[in-house]
Amino acid sequence: MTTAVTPTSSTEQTLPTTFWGRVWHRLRRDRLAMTGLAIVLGAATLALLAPLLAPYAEGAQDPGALLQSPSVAHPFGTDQLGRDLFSRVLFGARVSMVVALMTSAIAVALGTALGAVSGWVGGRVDNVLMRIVDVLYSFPDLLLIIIISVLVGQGVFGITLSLSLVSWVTVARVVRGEVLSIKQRPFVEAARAMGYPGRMILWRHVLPHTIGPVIVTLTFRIPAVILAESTLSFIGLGLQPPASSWGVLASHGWSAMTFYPHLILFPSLAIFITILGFNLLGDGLRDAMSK
Amino acid sequence: MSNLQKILDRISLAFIARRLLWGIPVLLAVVVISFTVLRFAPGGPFDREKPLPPSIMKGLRAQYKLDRPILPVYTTEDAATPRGKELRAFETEYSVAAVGPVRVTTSFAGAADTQMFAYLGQLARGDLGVSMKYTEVNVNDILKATFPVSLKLGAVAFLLTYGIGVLLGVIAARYRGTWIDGAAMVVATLGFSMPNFVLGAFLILIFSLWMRLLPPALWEGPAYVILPALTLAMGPATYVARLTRSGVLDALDEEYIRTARAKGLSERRVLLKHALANALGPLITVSGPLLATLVTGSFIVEQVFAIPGMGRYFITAVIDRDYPTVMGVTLVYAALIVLANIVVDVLYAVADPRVEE
Repeated sequence: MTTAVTPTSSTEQTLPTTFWGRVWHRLRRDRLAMTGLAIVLGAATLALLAPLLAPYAEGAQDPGALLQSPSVAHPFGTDQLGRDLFSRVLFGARVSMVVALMTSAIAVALGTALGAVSGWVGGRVDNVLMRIVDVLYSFPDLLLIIIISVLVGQGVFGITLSLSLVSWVTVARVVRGEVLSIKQRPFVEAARAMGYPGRMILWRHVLPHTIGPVIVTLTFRIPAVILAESTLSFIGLGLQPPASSWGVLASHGWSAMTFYPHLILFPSLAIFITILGFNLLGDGLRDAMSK
Repeated sequence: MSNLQKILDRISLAFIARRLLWGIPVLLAVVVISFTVLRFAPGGPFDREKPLPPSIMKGLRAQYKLDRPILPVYTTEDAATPRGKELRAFETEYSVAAVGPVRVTTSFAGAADTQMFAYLGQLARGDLGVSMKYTEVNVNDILKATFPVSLKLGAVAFLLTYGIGVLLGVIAARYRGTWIDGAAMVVATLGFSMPNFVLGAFLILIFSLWMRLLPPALWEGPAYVILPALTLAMGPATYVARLTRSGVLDALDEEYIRTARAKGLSERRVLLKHALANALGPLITVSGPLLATLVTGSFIVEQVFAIPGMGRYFITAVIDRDYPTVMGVTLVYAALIVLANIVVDVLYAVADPRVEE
């Protein structure tokens, strides 16, 4: 692996034969995309191992060390209750990631199902679904999110539900577009000619082709959800304490920004780096799949 | 002149009329849905930490018609249910099942008496109602005062979005693969990776508190527009920069660019006239959704910079359950987005002669 000196002209011959093999092959050579992947995996690991890595217990307060600037004992400093910010950011990663992943999963499932049906069945069904999408697009997202989270409550569940209900629309549009174009391809006609039932053609021959675009959409959806969740926290309509996502931490830091900049700096750095990672990975994936 | 004539010929008035007409049911749906959900959400405009005396509460509710049914209801009459007890339409079956088999006579209550229809009737007269928080103030007047502020902020942000985005995108494409390309794209990604309020916070920190160049908040003159508009524009500008870069790069491989170069056109002209035209389609297409992003973003940015615009009113109105204000702002935003999408469709047809309807 380290000694292989392959002339560039022979890379075409060594290309993997499967679609995903080729995608991975291209992705591996994309330095930015690999940086993105490393960031994403790193953030996920930190979130998973938070209880092991955090120097202080979740929510532990130290009245003797209030609002301290970063030091060796507290790498990110402490907040107004003497809680170690580094530990809080680690635990916050879990909340942020859980909300982002669950929301994206629901949005993708719902969006793929409705988008696929809409594009595949066409006609009146398509018309009705697309008009619903029209209406949802004309809503200020924030209003919808706020109303739903007021109805369902501002816990992880409520926020996840409300964010998914506005996120599926984008996925549905992407999948519908893909299905519409795949529908025209010769292999679908061939499957029809062979007498396969429509449902089976959709499931076995059409949907697998939408996985690529859906994954790309997903990698861009996750950062969007992290942003939306932080924003909700900022206007006081997001997660309620004790749940402390990065957004909650950053918005708490906002009010004391002038005197204790570290309180907003570190949580927002965590948000920034993670989102950057997802965006880089998404860009790389899109390039790798479109070539 | 002949160019303009050609463009005008391409715009079909029937197409525009059809799109405008379709906007009406969309807006109606937005109003009905948000009104229903909002009214069924827990809490009310007159909730206080110390509850108001029942008699006053009753008077207030009557004054604002909150004691009326929200949606058209069925009135049921039977042995088990007290006479005239109101059930919401979708509860009828369930509640009846709960009391066992009974003879039920249902009648459709006067729809005109419901809050929904009262509100729709009011809207038809162009009246958005009186705020329940700032009593004596009509929502029309609130919007008249706040909408121009938000519009100005949004317009400046929109221009900045396309200004910054296209500039970065063209530069990146021109120096493809060099460090300049990389730097332009990193700058472009910054805006995409931060919540608006964090970006705003850092801009305030740098430009107002450290450098003392620009005011950190409020809305008192042209200088006050810069930081909030920049905060609002950075995210969408990223998107525009990426689209521009890939559109221009695609074009640079095309034959017609080689022709343009062979004709001896300057590189700047080739880039800005011929290559950029290729990116125009996608740029127009995204302008609708981008406008929506700017609109939603303005809720937050107005809050960060204490700007007396619609967005700031909207958030307090939601928290206070000031129904007429929430509905008014929602309606204005929805109308704005619907209109923007129509403009986008028309522009798209103008920019790309292949698009027919």
